[in-house]
Amino acid sequence: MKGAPAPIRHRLSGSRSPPPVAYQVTQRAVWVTVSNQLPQQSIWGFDGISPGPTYVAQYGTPVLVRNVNALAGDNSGFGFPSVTTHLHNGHTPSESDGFPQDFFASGQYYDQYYPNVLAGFNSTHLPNGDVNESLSTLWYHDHRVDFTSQNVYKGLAGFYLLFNQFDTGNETTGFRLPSFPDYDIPMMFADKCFDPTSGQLVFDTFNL
Amino acid sequence: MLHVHPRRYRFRWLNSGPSRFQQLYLTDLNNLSANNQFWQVSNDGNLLPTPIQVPAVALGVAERADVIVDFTALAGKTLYIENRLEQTNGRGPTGNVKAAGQGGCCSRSSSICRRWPTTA
Repeated sequence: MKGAPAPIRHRLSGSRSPPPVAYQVTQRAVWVTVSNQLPQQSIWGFDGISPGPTYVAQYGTPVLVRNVNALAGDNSGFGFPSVTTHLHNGHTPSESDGFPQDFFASGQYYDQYYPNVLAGFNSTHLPNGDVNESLSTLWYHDHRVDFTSQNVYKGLAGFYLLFNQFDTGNETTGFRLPSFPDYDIPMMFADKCFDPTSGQLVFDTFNL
Repeated sequence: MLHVHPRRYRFRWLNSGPSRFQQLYLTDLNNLSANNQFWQVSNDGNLLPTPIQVPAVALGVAERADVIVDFTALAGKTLYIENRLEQTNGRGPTGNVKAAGQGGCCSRSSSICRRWPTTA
């Protein structure tokens, strides 16, 4: 007797062709100076920087990202070196979305495919999607179940910018918004708490 | 500090959390009564049907706003991106909006409350 087919946990991406753009980023601990009034801080960054590298993507051009987890064992008090990277608001197939439980350990990597397609491409707005669903400013961040807030607080976040034929990144075309990157600048604002004695970044893991 | 030319810029503002809500104004400490308006062109990554002229944008955690700031008439001035929304604990803002120059993070009032260097 033939058994029931195995459940498909994740919907696979539509395209099987290799993406034309591929990146590899490594999540690792790094010491940084955030103020001349504070000692060096141990944070986590993508390729050692926080905010991480800014992705610049175009609608219609898929991107493959290999996220490597090289986070050290010593977390200096908070952060869990098991990660999953979520592209916030991205119209991303589920196997690449960075679900909270799709985490991977230090020493492992996860390949994530971002098709950069408009929502509705396979249903209401065949075949290219609904242009009103266009996104411009996205960000990526750690999404590890139970540890998202402290892993993001520790630095695992960055920008992902999407352009199309209207929002082109070139102020002489389309909607003529200021050109990227000279006049188009992402800024991330976060609240941080530093221990008044040690000067080190702290996180209230017990929600006191 | 970001040095700008006297022209239009697009800033993409994100509140990356974890606790504080933000209401961001442009403050000129030498002219606190100035209402430095700017244009909001998107919220959470979606372009608006038309730009909206605003005195500030409010951002909860993970929220974004793309804004156009025109520095043409502001040559030679220094402006601060100032969060004027009062919040005294992790349970949300009080609802009070502080006076210009009296805001908390993202302003000159707390020199160690600054963001990490942005790498674009």
